[in-house]
Amino acid sequence: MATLPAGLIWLASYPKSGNTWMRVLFANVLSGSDQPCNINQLSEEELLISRWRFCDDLLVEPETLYPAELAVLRAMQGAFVARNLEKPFVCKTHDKYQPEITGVPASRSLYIVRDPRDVAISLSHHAGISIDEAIGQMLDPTCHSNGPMQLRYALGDWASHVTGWTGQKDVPVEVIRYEDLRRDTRAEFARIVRSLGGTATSAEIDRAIGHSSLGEMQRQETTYGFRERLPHQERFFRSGQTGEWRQVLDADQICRIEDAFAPVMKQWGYSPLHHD
Amino acid sequence: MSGLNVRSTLVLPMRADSGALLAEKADVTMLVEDVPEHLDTVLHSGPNWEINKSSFLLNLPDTGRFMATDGDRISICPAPDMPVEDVLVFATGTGMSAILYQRGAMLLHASAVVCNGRAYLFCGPSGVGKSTLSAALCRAGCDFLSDDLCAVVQQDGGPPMVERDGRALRLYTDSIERLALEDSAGPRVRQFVEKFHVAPPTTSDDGGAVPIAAIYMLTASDPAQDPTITRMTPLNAAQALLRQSYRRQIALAYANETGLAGRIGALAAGTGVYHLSRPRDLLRLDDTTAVLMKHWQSLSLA
Repeated sequence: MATLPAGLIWLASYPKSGNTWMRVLFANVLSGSDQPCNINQLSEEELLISRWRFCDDLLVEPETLYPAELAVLRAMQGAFVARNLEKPFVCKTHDKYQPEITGVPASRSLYIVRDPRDVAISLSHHAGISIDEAIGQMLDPTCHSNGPMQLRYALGDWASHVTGWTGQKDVPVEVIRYEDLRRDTRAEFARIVRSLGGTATSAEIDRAIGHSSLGEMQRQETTYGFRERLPHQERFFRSGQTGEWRQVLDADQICRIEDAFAPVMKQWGYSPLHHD
Repeated sequence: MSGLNVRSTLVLPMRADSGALLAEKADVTMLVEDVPEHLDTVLHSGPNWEINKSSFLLNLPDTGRFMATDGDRISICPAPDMPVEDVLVFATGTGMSAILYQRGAMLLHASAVVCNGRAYLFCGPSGVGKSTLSAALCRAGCDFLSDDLCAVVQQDGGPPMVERDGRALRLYTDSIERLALEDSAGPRVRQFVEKFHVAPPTTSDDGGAVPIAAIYMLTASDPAQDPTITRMTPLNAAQALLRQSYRRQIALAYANETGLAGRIGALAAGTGVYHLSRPRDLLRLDDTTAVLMKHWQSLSLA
């Protein structure tokens, strides 16, 4: 049966970069089941970004705390949880990298990076905002986010998010490009499991990929709904396409993203159209 | 609070009634005094809390320390430059729950309303909409019973009951506006927190505990779906009730003394526990209250 070593593993990304898909892949590879995992039972409440988990560990409700108080307690929570883990805990986060919060003694971290031009499209669908507003959010260094079941967290701008996680030295980080995961899921997912110190047979990897396909996630969303879908969203699991920006974004939108993020985009192989 | 009289030299803004205090004997005293950073001979602990034989200690760095001792004393020690009024919510919430557990209580993270003399409880984590739903049901004719914390009591073969609580609702501005409760809104929960104490729209004055008719586990559904109510099996109900214990880690720490497992099992076996899945959208709040009213009718006919 597939395994991962005990300890806290951050699964970090800017929103709409494939984090949920990766969680479904991990859930399916670790379940050992011949049936796909239920996408509505991904243990959202157990995540360290969940309000339920925060209140359960720290005995106070996050909405009664001021931001500085919340940050101090999140750091205490992360350190306590990581210190006492006896099983693997792949923990989703969209936090920007902050040593005092996400630099806790995690054993590893996996960071997913995606072309920001595609992120903008996905974010606009997800948040029910225009693409220009989505780009504005991605450019905002002070951007924060929270959902009804999640803590308020600092997101920052897209490039700082990427450089913060991939450049930090506190927690060993494995970086994967969303596009590579889409292009060759089998090889990339197997590489990730290995890099995290885990084991999985080819058959287990193949089964997990089959159970985590976009078609399967869309089938479950159509049949049962998906609790992370927001009121204005037609569907959460939309297209997962790469390079959609070439058809969807106009020249001004492409320029706004590339003007701000070109150096980081180049670093991760996303060639700007307008910057050599 | 939860059936106990609390004596305090501090003004407690969360009181639902604004009348004079009763001159009854106090069960619990709330004081501003020094609180140690750690307890001796710790039996249970978490990131920021400790429990020993007599006390529970909550440490919120830069906010304050709070200690509940022997089921009758809450000590509040605000951090330097932190006004005591700004930390009271932690004493009356977590601190008071520790007192209740020390006295052997069973507590659920739930809000409750009364309809035709029977209590309906709504369990769920912070943010799921318990208070808003309770306020909406009060608007629809129910009486307010308790917000956020329900103390469940069961005596000598009688039905499980919920103690009437003396604390006000706590609501965000959007819920206050949606429910047209602006005139009932009182002070903020804390100085810079956008959540307000709100006098409940209706409160029954007959005092005492109320028998439980049904308990609902509240979850947010896919936004496009209608509210649904499904009965949980006793095993699933027991697991859900344990998970929704108020300040669950304190409940677990005192589980042996309070007989938690047996009481959860008995409550799950003897009471209808339901999963209520509904869209969180405030505009669809009336859909949920309508589905609930219909469900209560079916329960009373059964």
